[in-house]
Amino acid sequence: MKRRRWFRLPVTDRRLSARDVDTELGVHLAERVDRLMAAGLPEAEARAEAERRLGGLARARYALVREAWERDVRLSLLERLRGLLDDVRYAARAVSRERGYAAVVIITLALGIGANATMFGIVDRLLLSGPAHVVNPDGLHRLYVNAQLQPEGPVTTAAPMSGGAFTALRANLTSMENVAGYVPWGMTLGSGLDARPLSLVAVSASFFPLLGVRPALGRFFDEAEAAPPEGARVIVISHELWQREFGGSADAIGATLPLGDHGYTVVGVAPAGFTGVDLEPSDGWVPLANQASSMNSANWDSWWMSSFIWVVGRIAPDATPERAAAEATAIWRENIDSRSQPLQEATITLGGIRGGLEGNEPMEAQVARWLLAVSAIVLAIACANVANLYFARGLRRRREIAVRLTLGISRARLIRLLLMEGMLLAVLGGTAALLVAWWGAELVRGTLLPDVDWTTSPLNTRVLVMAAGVTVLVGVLTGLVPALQATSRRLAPALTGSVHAPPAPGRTRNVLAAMQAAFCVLLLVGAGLFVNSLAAVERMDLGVDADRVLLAWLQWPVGAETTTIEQQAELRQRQEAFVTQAAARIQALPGVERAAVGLGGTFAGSFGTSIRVDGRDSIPRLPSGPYVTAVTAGYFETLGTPLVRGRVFEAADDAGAEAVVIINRTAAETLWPGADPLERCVYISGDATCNRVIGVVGDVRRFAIIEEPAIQVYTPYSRRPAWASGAPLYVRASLRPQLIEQSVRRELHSMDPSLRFVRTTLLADQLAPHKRAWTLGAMLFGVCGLLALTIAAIGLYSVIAYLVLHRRHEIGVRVALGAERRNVVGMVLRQALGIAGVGLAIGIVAAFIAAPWLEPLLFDTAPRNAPIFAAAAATLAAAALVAGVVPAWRAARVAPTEALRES
Amino acid sequence: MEQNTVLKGTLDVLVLKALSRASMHGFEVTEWLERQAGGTLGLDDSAVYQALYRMEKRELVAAEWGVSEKNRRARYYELTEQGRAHLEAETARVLSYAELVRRILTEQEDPA
Repeated sequence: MKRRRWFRLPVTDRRLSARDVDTELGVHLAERVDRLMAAGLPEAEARAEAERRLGGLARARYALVREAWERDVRLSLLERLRGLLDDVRYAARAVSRERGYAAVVIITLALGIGANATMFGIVDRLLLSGPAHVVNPDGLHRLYVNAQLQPEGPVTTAAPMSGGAFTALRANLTSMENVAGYVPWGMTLGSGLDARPLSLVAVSASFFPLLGVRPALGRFFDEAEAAPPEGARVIVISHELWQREFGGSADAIGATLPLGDHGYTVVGVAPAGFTGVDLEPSDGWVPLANQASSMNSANWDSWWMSSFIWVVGRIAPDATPERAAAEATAIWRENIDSRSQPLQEATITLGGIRGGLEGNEPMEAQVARWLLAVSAIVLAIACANVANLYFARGLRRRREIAVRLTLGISRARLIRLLLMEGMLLAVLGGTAALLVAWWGAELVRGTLLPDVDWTTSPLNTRVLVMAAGVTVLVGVLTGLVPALQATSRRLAPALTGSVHAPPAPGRTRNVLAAMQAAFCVLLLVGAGLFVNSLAAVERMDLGVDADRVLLAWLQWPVGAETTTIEQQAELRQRQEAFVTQAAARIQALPGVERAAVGLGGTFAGSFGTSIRVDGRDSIPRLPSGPYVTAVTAGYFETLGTPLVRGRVFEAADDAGAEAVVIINRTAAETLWPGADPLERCVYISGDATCNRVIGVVGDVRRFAIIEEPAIQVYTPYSRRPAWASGAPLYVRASLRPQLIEQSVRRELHSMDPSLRFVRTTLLADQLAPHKRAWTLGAMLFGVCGLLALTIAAIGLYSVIAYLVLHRRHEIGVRVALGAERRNVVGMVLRQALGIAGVGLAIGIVAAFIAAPWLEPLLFDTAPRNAPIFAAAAATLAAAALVAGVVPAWRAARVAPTEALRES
Repeated sequence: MEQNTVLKGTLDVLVLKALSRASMHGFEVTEWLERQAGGTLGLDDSAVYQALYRMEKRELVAAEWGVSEKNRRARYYELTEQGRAHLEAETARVLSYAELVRRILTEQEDPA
C-alpha cells in the first residue's frame, strides 16, 4: 500500500486531500442522518442537526482539509525518505556481495575524481579565486607603460613606473577610486651568522585600503608614516612571521625588528594567507618611501629616471577601464619630466592583476589550465571504465533482474535501485578521492609550485563542492546508462539461458574501451611533448654548469652619516678588496673546488654599457646589451663557462698594467664576423683605453633561461666601473653546494668581524623557477597519462576477459576439433589489439589536430612530433597486449571436455 | 454548545482507545465514544476527525479505504505499533492525572 504512493501522490496537491475529507464527511453525515431519522426526526431536520453537531459543515470542512493536507504532505515525504533508505540499504547489500568489483570501481573513481579535485584546487588558486583577503579582485587593475623605445622597434610593455609617475597618477587619476604602488624588497633580519633574509614588500599607505584587507592584529601604517622622502620605519608583519618570531603573541605590536640598517617598529599583523596582489608569500610590508629613498634617491617621488614601482588601482564605480587608461595616459604625458622622447609619447594601459612584468599571464597558469582539461579526460576515462564494468555486471545480473521483473518490481524502481548502486559507489569513490586530492595537492604545491603561498588548505570549500558535484554527475552517468540498458533488453533469453554462457557482449563496451584508448593516446602525446620540452630545456647550454655553484653576498653596515664622501669611498675600496682576498681564502676550504668574484655576473644583475671598436662607426644593435662584467681569475672555471678561443684571465691580468678583455661568442660574431677577434681593441663606455681581446668564451644567460643573445664584455675585476659595487663571491663545491654553505659564511665572518651578514644562494635555485612551467607540465601530464593508461588497460582487460568467458564453449569446441593453443591465444590477442587499434587511430588523429594548441607552451619541440606520436602509440599497444595476455592465456587453457560439459 | 474542554484535552487517547478494540471509520469512533460516555461528548464531531488526522500524521494510526456495512466507501483507521504504545503510556498518564485531581477536589482534612 505504501509503495503505491511514491509515484501516484504528488506531495503538494491539496485537492486530493480535500477530496478525501469530503468523502469522509459525506459518510459521517449520512450515518448521522440515518441514526437521527431512525430516532424519528424528519430528514431535513436530521440533516440540519447532523451538520450542527459537526460544528458547522463549512467550518469543519475548512479546518479538516487543512489538517488532512498537512498530514498527506508529511506522510508522503516520510515515505519517500524511507524508500530512499531502503534503496541505499539494498544498494549496499548488492555492492558488498561483489567486493572485488566494488574495489575496482571505487579505486578508479577515486583516481579520476581525485586527479580532478587536485587540478581544480591548483587552477582555482592560480586563476579563479584571486589573492586571499582581497575584496573584489576583478575590480583591480595593473597599470602598464607602453613605449617604443627604439625607432622601428617593437612597443615594449612594462609594469614598473617611476616615483614621479606614481605620484602624478595617485594625485590626479579620478577614474580610479584608489591607486597604490608596491615594490618587492629583500631585507635581512639581524646580523652575523644568525642573519636571515626576509622577502618584504614596500607599499604605499593606500595599498591596504585599496585591497580591502583588515589587519589580524594592530593596524596598517597611515599616509603620515609613509610620507616621502623616507617615511617612518614601521612594518606590518605577515601572520607567518608573527608566529615564527613572536609565537603569535600580542606583545609583537610595538616590538622592534632589526632590519637592514634600521630598527623597524611592528605596528600590525596581516591576516593569515595575505600575499598582497600577487600569490608569492611575503614576510612583511613597509612604507614604499623606505625602499625608494634608500635604493633610489631622496626626491624619488618627483623623479622620472628610474622605474621600479608596480602600480595597481581600482576602477571607480562610474568609470570604465578604457576611460581610466586614457586619463592615465593624459596625466603621464602632462607630468612627465624626462628628455626621453619615447617615454614622453608612452601610453598607459590597464591589465589584470594576474599579469606579470609584461602583462602576460604566467606560463604556469596557462599550463595549469591545460592540466584541468587533462584531468577532465582522466575522469572521462575513469567514468567509461566504471560504466564498462557496470555493463559487464549488469549482464551478469540479467537473470536476477529478469526474475525481479517477473516477480512484479516496476521498471522505474529497478532503474532507481541500479542508479542508487552507481551513486553509492560514486560517493565511496568520491570520499576516497579526497585522500588522493590531499596527497596530490601536497605533492604539486611543495615540489612544483613552491613560490605560491599555499596557506589555505588543499581541500577548501570550493574544491569540496566541485568534487561533490563531479561525484553526483559520475554517479548518475555510470548508474543510469547501464540501468536503462539492463532493463530494456528482452528478458526471455535471460530467464532460459544457461548460467555458464553469458549473452554476447554489446558493441557499447567495445566503443567505450576504444574511446579510453583514444583519450590515452591524447594524454600520452601531451606528456611526451612536455617531457621533450623539459629535456630540451635541461639540455640547453646555459653557458654555466649551475649544479654545484654557490653565491655569497657580503653586506657591511652602512657608514655613519657623519663620514665624508671620501671616507665612504675609501671604505668601499677596502670592502671590494676584501672580497678578492676572501675568494682566495674560500678556495682553500675543504669541499671547495674553485672561488672567484664577479660583478654583474650571471643571474646576479647585469651592467649595461656602450662599447666601440676600431673600423666601425657603430656596432650592430641587438635587442639588449652590451653588458660589462668584472671578474677575478678563475671566474670562468668556477661557473664552468667554456673557453672558445685564446685564454682566460690570470692573476697577473688583475694586477697588470695592460688593459685586457674577454668577450663572449655573440660579441665576436657580431663585432668581427668571420674574422679573428683576438688582439683587437674594445673601447668601453666612451673611454679611450684600448682593451686588448685575449679570449672568447661561450654565451652565458644573464636573467632567464630563454633570452636573446647579447654582447658581453668581461674585464679584470680591478678594472670594474667605478660606480659599481656589491660583487658576490661565486664558489664551486666539489660535492653538493649545500654542504659548504655554513663553512663559507663562518670563514667570511671570521675574516672580517665587521661584516653585518653573508647571504648565500644556490645558482641552481635561481634557475629552477625558469624551468618550472615545463617541469609542471611534464610531471602532471606524465602522471595523468600513466593513470589513464592503467585505467584504460584495466578496462580493456575486463572487456577481453568477459569475451573469453562468453566464448568459452566455442573455444572448447575449437580445441576439441584440433585448434592449436597458439591459435586460440592469437585469436584473443587480435581482439584486444583490434579494439585498442581503433582507439589508437582515433587518438592519433585527435592528437594531430589538438597538438598545435599546445605549441606556445612547448620549448624546442614540434607539436606534431612523429617520434613522440610513435612512442605514445607503442606504449598504448604494449598496454593493450599486457591487458590481453592474461585472458588469452586463460582461453588457451580451456579444457574441451570441461567447456562442453558445462553447456 | 457547551464545550467539554477536559474531554478535548484527552480526546486523542480516547480515540486510540476506541481503535484499540477494532479498526473503525470516523463515525463509528464517534458513536463508540458517545455510547461509552452515555450521551453526547460535548464536542463538535469534527474534533474526532481532527484527532484522527493529527494522529495519522504522527503515525499513531494508519488509514485505509474500505466499504462500510451500509456499502459506503469509508476511511478505516487502525492502531499502529507506535499508537498502541502511545495509548498505554497516555492511559497511565491521564489516569494518574485524573486520580490526582479527584483526590484534591474530594479533599478530606487530614486529622493530624
